[in-house]
Amino acid sequence: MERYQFSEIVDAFVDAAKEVVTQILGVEVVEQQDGAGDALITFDGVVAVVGFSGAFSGRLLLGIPEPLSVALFHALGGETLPSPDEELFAASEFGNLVTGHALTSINNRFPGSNARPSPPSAFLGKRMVFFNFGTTGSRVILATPYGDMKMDIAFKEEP
Amino acid sequence: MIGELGMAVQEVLSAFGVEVAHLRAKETDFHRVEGFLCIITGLLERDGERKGIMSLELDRKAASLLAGVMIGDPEAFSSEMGLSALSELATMVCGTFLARLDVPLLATPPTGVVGEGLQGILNVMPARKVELRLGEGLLVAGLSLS
Repeated sequence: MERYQFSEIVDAFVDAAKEVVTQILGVEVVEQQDGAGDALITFDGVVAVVGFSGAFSGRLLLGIPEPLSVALFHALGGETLPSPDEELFAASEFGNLVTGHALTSINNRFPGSNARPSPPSAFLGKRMVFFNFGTTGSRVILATPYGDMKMDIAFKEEP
Repeated sequence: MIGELGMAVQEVLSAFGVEVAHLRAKETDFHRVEGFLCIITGLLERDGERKGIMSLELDRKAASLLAGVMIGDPEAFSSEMGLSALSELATMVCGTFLARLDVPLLATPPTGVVGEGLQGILNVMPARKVELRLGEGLLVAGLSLS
């Protein structure tokens, strides 16, 4: 991957997640560690998934700890403890915001890439194993006062 | 379009020697997960605003049957090799489906998830689904497109 620098794309998603969490919740987010993504990734709790396609395609996974999920739900207008569906909707919206911010930044950095997001999805469960094959991935942990958010970005350049 | 998706699934399964005996269509308010294994592919209109989600959702018996057919080990459906095979199946179904359409759509790489008690909303749009009986198992192909 030469034209689209892998690290710049990952950085765009990390910056977008930090920016969106800070804007919504007014808290600091610290990037703690990163590494290569695996084909199989296990998550507990709430996970947002947003695909994207254009000159490159891929997907973002955001593993959201329960306290952060509830805080996002309240910040997005919820008033009581969220039902499972409400948590899923809030996670989808959050994933959509992060992906939208990241792709705007990437499209500005790489004119012509025209990467656009697909509709956001969200999952809730214990020991959920997510899988992608044929993509290059990177994992980042973002520490928030509401717990650590796990971010996994996988993508490939289109021919 | 759900008819084309159903036919695409049948065509791909037929290439593996799996004939589907029964098809049933249904609609849901949101595009929700059914089954314990789900593979989703995002769809985007090449030069337009339409976007959506295509899903393949399998119960244990359907996943086991397909793993047996594709990699020769029905028990290995949740192994990395089994999940890779099922992911490839989703890619083939998506490619066959898109080739049947008049609308040019881009697809994201498939993302799969497997887990007991899985809950999920794949898209807030209404979905159309086709259920396919695979032996004693069930495969559900879903589509929600704006």
